[in-house]
Amino acid sequence: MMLRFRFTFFDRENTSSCYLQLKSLDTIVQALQVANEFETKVLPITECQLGDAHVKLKVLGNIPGRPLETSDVFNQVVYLCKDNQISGSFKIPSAPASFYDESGSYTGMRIFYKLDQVNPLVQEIFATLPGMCRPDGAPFPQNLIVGGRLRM
Amino acid sequence: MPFTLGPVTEITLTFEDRDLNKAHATFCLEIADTVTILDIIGYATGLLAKVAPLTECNILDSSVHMTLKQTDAWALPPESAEVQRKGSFSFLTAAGTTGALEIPGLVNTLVVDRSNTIDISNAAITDFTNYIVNGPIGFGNGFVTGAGIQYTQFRSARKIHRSSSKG
Repeated sequence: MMLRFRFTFFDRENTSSCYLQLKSLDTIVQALQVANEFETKVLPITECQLGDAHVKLKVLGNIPGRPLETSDVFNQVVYLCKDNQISGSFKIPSAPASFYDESGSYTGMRIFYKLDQVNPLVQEIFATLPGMCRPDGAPFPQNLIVGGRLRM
Repeated sequence: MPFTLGPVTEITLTFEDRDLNKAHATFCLEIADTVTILDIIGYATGLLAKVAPLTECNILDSSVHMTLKQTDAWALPPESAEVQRKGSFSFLTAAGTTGALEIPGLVNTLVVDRSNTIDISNAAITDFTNYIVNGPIGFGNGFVTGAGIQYTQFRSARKIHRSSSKG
């Protein structure tokens, strides 16, 4: 594991970044401590202002036997979810062909997906990510209403 | 506390198809700052496993991005501040190599006149370099290079000029 911190510096016209890495931390509180301590140590040696800091950590994947011959990242699926008046969506590239419902109607997105087949899988994503939300912070609706193919 | 956890943490999956084209999918989470890093790794690993049946691509990695919001009141930097003027700090690493990090907007009075050498006897410089080597969260947890090798000793510091992006 490696946590990569990016600190942004501002002068009156431009921005620049400084990158620092740590091999391990236990909690987000500690990440905040690192950032706060960095600020106290760096402000005496810079004339710039510090903006937001960013922390990244990467978990390596790699699925055995992938990618399949028919895989194509430009062929994406939009999963649109809606609860009451709140909607949310996410895109995943290259769905298996078995998900296609060729009888689906045209509604801007190319083809509807077999929701009964896809929905349990999408529900598992929601179960894996407690606190899943939209980019604006609003709770993510968990009722899948359509999956549509989108050529990027 | 000047930095606080931003409202949204992102987990981005990187997909790769047979022709080595890549695409990304991002999921947003609202998490408390009491959540452990192990919990977050669990979310990222779990997401990777749950998305796998929905794609024919390989999923190369799952990358977590947290924003630490700056809550200090904004103050205009002095006119003399220039992000292009950087302090380049060089450190020895545990592998015997050197690694460097650059601090934008170096205070010019820290530079020895008629040279580009930074005055390493200055207390602020010593404080900063000790922080990098000795670690922010207890001894032995110092910062590491991009390759993950521990900084072990401060070596030298110079003023350099390097271009930066426009704000």
